[in-house]
Amino acid sequence: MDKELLLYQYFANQLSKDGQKLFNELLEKDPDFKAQFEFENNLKRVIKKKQNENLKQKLAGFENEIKSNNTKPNTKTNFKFWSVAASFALLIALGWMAYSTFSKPDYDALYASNFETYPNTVYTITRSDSNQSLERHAFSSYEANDHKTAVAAFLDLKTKGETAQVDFYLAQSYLNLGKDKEAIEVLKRVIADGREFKAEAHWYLALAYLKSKDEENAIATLKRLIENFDYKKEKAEALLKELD
Amino acid sequence: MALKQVYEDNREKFLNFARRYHLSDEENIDIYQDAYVIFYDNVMNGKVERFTSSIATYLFGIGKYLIFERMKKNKKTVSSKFDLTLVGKEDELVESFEMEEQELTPEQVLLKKHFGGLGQKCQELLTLFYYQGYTIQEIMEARDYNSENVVKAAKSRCMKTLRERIQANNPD
Repeated sequence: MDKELLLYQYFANQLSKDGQKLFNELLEKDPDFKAQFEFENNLKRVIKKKQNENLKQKLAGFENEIKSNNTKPNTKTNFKFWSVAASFALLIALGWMAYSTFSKPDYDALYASNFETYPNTVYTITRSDSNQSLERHAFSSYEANDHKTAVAAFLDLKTKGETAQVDFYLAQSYLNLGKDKEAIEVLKRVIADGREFKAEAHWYLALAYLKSKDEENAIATLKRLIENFDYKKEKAEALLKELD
Repeated sequence: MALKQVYEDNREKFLNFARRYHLSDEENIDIYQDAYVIFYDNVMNGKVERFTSSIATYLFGIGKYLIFERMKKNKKTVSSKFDLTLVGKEDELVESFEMEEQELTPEQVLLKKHFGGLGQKCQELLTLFYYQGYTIQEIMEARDYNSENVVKAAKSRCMKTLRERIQANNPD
């Protein structure tokens, strides 16, 4: 029997009883066969390792998202329950007036209740699409919430002369990874460049400032957004009220 | 995204379960993720053919194993409150699982490096075959190849490239 076929059947889990017997014999007596088998078996092991690493990275991404969404109304964690319960208790204790007069705004909570990742609207990914371009790689990672990979791919795309679109999504990925300083730099570039996503970039820039507890710049950016654009106007006004 | 859904659906249950062993929350999350990876991997390699319990139960079983490993490593004594010989349903469920990942041998490390340097198509094809357990015919159907021979030829080419690169790196 063909040795190649035997190996194929082994790795496809299709060895017959006789095949298995022959396989074992060859493994013992034929060094070339054994070397070939070991090579493929090592490859199998390595691919598995790589897949596991990829998966773990994805999970870390989900985890980051859960953490950044922790104060959103629709997350059903215990933490959420207790933080709501605690803040109600606080409200009752201090009274509404005292609370709103004396307490500093909770920037993290405001950020979390306003931040939503901007959907991918520039690159369509379809199942049958066999295009392996960098762009596809970047946006499919983005959609899969694998922001670490997405950041790397977006940065790569930029070296290939890509535009404000890429910067805007790069900033989204940074925000998802909790890298607000980086996000701020990139969003400023999007606004300065001024071609696309200008209004949206203002909104996310304001949120990024909020996240880094830079109230002054957050307010200034929100005001610019409200004056010049319609995007998220109501939300921006509400947020401004909370901060003022 | 099913992966994400499963992650979110079982996360809180798992953390509640893990808290009784008094590791930090950070460690518990890390363990949850490792348990998830092991579970997924064992589903992929056919260790779980039918789901006889909820996913959470599988994750608890793996998690418990990992927690005890971690405690041993931390040199924390496992308190007598937790009788290790007490075997619960979740332990039996994962008895046949491959839990431990062996360190890669130097050869495998080299192989991993060069595998990562192959084109996306090659990586995908080899992953479908060696990891997902697709047959040549299934790969042909799933990826719109024209014939089985085309798949076979592509696979041999990928393997050849891989072998050549390893040899170039390691001349002996």
